[in-house]
Amino acid sequence: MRPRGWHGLVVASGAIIGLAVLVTGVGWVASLRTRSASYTVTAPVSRVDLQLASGNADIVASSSPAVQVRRTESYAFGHPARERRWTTDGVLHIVSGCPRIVLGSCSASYEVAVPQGVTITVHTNSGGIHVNGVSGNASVRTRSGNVDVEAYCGFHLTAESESGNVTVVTACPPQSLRLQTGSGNAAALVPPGPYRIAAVSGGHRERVTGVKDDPSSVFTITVESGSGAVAVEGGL
Amino acid sequence: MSASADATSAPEILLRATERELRTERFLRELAYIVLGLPLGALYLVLVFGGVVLGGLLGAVWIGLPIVLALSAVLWRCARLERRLANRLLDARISPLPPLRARAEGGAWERTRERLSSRAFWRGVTLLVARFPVTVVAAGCTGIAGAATGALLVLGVEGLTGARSGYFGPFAIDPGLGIVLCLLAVPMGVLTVAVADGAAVVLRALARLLLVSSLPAGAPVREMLAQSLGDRSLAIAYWVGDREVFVDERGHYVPLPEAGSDRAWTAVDYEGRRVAAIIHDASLEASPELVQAAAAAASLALDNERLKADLRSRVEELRASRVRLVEASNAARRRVERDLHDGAQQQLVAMAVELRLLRNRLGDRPEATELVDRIEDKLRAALEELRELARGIHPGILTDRGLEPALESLAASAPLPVACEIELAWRPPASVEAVAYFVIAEALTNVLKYAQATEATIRARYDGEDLVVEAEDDGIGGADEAKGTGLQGLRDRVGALDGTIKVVSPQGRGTLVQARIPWRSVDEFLGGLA
Repeated sequence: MRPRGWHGLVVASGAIIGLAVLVTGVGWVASLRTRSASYTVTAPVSRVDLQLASGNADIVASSSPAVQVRRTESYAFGHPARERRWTTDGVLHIVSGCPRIVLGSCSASYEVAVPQGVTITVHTNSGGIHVNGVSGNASVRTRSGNVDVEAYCGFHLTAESESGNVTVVTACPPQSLRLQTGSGNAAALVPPGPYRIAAVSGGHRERVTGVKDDPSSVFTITVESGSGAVAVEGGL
Repeated sequence: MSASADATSAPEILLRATERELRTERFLRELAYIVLGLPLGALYLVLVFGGVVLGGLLGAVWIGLPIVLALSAVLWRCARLERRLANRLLDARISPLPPLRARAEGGAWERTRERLSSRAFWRGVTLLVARFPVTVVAAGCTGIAGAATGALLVLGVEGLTGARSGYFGPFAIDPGLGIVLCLLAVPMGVLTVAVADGAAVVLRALARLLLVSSLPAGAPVREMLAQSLGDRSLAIAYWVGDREVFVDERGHYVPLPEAGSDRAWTAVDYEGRRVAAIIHDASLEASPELVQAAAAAASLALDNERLKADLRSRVEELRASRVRLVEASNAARRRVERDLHDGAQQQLVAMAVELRLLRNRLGDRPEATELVDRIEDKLRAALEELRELARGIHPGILTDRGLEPALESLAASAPLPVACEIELAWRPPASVEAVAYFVIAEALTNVLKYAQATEATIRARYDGEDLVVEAEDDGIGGADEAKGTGLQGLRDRVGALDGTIKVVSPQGRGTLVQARIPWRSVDEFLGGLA
């Protein structure tokens, strides 16, 4: 029934594909590299705009008047991510992009120390965002990864994730707080209100505790999740 | 290019092309089986677990039972569908599933219990349950391999046409890499087919494991062939060389199906000799090559079976010829009796009448009348002897009026009291009648000669397929079969009709002669011959 040559053909094909996979895998592991670079932007900056194709963003407040950036990139097959940065009208733009890679890996993570009061905007395609102690307005957004904001003490914060958890802890009452996630959980821990609170979950798992909900308040908290649980808690 | 074309002969190219076509067709059928299995498997799961839930919830209530019963019929249909799919798409060669029997009588509870206690049913249900998970795994493996092939092809073509830029591993995507990726897609495609093959092997094994009814080891060749070719109606006809006919296992003649009918036959040869013919459904799912292959594999076993069938056919032939001989001899006897009765006997009777007239005419001539009287006495004696002779050959009353009157007249003419216990609702076939009559006649003769009996009884009755005739006396017993040559002759005639004679004769306690003659088989046999 089975053609005589067929068996040999299958074995040969398996050998070719197996060899190709093996060579690629070994080459991948052997060519993995990680390197870091740091720089300081001394020009006065009122806003930092971070656009990452792939990688984590770690924003901390510092007492220094300069913006300090530490970039860590990891890549394989000798194709690292590339960075463009420029400053216009007091806005520091940092754009990191990977080459178009079908097979391989590429990411560039940033640790940025910003002066107090500087506005930050962060967008990353894949990676988590961690913000600590920032007192300026902030807008952070990731497509896949968690967003974690601690000790926030600014006026306006928008934290979004398409598929990840969003957790925000504020040290001062924010004027407007907006948490949004597609499929993760969203939780905000804020000083006790009163706030105008809108907690909406597609899965109808909403919890609001320890805060005063006052529709006439000018302080607004919006927490939304497509399918996860949402929570707003009051505390210190 | 032309050099390589020259190196390969034309038939070889053709053969490879055919192999490729078969390969492709088989791959598509395997894919169809796997892809169809996903919705079907899901449906089976719903049906089975729906049935379990319904049966569990409503089992205690009466309406649950008809639902479960109907559902089990549906599941059995699904199992049959699976068999067809496996046969069509995977060449599983599973013979048809037996109908799910449910007695017409009995309440819903009995019928449900009977159906649910069938092992074949549960094996079928097991297949239905297993079909989805196994198919999902098979589809997953095949799908991953197929997706890899597709990705390589798409990337390769994009590289060739420059539709995509970027890197593939360390390499920039360009026409050169495109060629390499396209080339890699070929072995990946081969692997995809191999993975589908592997999945099909697993799925086929599963279907066979659960749908093929297990056969005891050493099952007859016919069962094995029916099983492997998936035709329950398959029959085997064995070749009898010297008569140039096909016969069945019992040695009966088998006509081969004509071309164009719904039956077809395939010849089986062993070592160059015609051995048998496999008679099967013309619309058999297996190809002629498959039948040939199965036949070749079974040819040795079939040759052995053929020898047995040949022997049986000879025995059958012998039996038929014995019956024909008995029948012919009975016919001859009847004819002789008829001739004697209508010819010589009538002549003698006419002579006796004329002698009486002659005697009257002679008047008072004493010496002449005395002579005529002597002649008349001798004539009467001759007539009597002739009648006796005719009766010995074949009593006319038996032909004309049947066994019962014949036996009664036999009893009436015996010189000792003979009781008749005859219960015959209908006349047996002539040859059986004759043999039965002569058994009783011979037995009564022996009673008169040896038994010193004061009375005797003759009996005749039907016992199932047999006509049983008996003669019993209260004589001295101790009859020795070996001495009675008459009985030995009867034993042969009874034996020719597949009957038996039994003689029970303990010392001093009378004698019983009993003959059992199967009347129906003779009837059918003669009917078949005519």
